[in-house]
Amino acid sequence: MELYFEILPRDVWVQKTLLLKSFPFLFHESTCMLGESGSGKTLFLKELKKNKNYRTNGTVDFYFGKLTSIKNWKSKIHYEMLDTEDQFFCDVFFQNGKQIGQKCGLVLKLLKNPNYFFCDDLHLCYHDLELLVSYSQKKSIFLFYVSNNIEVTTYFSYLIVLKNHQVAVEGKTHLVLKEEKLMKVLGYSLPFYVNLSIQLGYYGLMNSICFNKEDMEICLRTSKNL
Amino acid sequence: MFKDIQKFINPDGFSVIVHFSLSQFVSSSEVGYVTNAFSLENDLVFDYLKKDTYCNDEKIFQACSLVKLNKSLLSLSYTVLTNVEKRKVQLAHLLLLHSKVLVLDHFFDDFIYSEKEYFKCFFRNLIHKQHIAILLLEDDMNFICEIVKHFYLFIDKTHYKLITDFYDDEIYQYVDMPYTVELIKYFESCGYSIDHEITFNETLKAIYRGVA
Repeated sequence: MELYFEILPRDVWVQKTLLLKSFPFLFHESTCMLGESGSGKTLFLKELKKNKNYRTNGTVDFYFGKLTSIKNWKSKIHYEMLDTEDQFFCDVFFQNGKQIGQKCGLVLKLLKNPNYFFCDDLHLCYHDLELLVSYSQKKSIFLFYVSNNIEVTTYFSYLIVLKNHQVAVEGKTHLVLKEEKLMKVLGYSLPFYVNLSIQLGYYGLMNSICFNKEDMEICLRTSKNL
Repeated sequence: MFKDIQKFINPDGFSVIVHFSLSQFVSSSEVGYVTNAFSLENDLVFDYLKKDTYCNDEKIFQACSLVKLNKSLLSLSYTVLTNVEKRKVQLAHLLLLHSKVLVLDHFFDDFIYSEKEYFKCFFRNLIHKQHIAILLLEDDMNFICEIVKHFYLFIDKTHYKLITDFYDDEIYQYVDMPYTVELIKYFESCGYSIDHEITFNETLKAIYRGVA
């Protein structure tokens, strides 16, 4: 199953300069689109939804967030009807009690098991985002997420970076994030753990890039034989 | 709280308040507020900047340039702008009003690195050259670690305390732990002895000292 973006509608970025006239992108893994505010990330998703500029034999869904307050998330998502695996995911996902309305809307979409799921930046905490990505992977849902926060990129396997309304660089996340100087030129710092592991590499303490503290501790211990 | 705003002000640098957000605000030439809670009906950005400030077009363009606001947005309605653009418009308005104290409510949210760096420098210039006080209401501890050594933490809407130790666990009942503190605490739990630093560069050196 594949999903191709076709030529995007002209004037997608009517008032903010055209971003992507054509976007020959084969969507085949969890992807994050990184761009500064006003670069047209959300507009891109909205136009894609409106004009259906893609070809696929799978199902596609979109989520732009919902700012409603919901008291009982279990009744909203019909918790009792879910299988054990989905119930477990929901228990953990709703555990911290934050953004309940937002998460309910998201979970209702995910439970429909779309093949491709486009999601606007929901400003989820990193723990919730990690859960979302791993759940999507388990369910074979290809997740496309947009954000302006470099830290969230580490949860996705593919990264598209926008600059001046164009795709500046794209590729496997760990390869893109290795390009420290390029990312600086584009106006981005690196995610904290990636940056720290690169800098520790200059000190001769590390020889690989880490995405979290546990990996970093193991790498340090291994490289120094501590 | 903002009746006593002066007691939070540090004239030599950024003043930071954590775990607090504005609910009531009226900007003036004394105290100006930048907040996501601010809204305008159908005003065009240019009209809003012109209103109350009585500035000529050139001054308005200058203010937009200072806050990195694209001039093409001046002819748009305020309502269609992104939150970041709205905050830049509000800041330009306050610069034109010559407010002496700027209260910036989660101003840096959603900015990318280069924008954050630009505005840090810009505000430092305002503090030191224009003697404008800058009070930041922020919850992003990663950002706070890089700009101040102490801040005020609001426990609830009226009670607050001065925090000088970023490794005090009480802070993290209210806001997320910064990466530097999280990492050093984790390394300590793994048996390493590492100095308690808060900025990225100092943490890097502390790890080198503690592990090498």
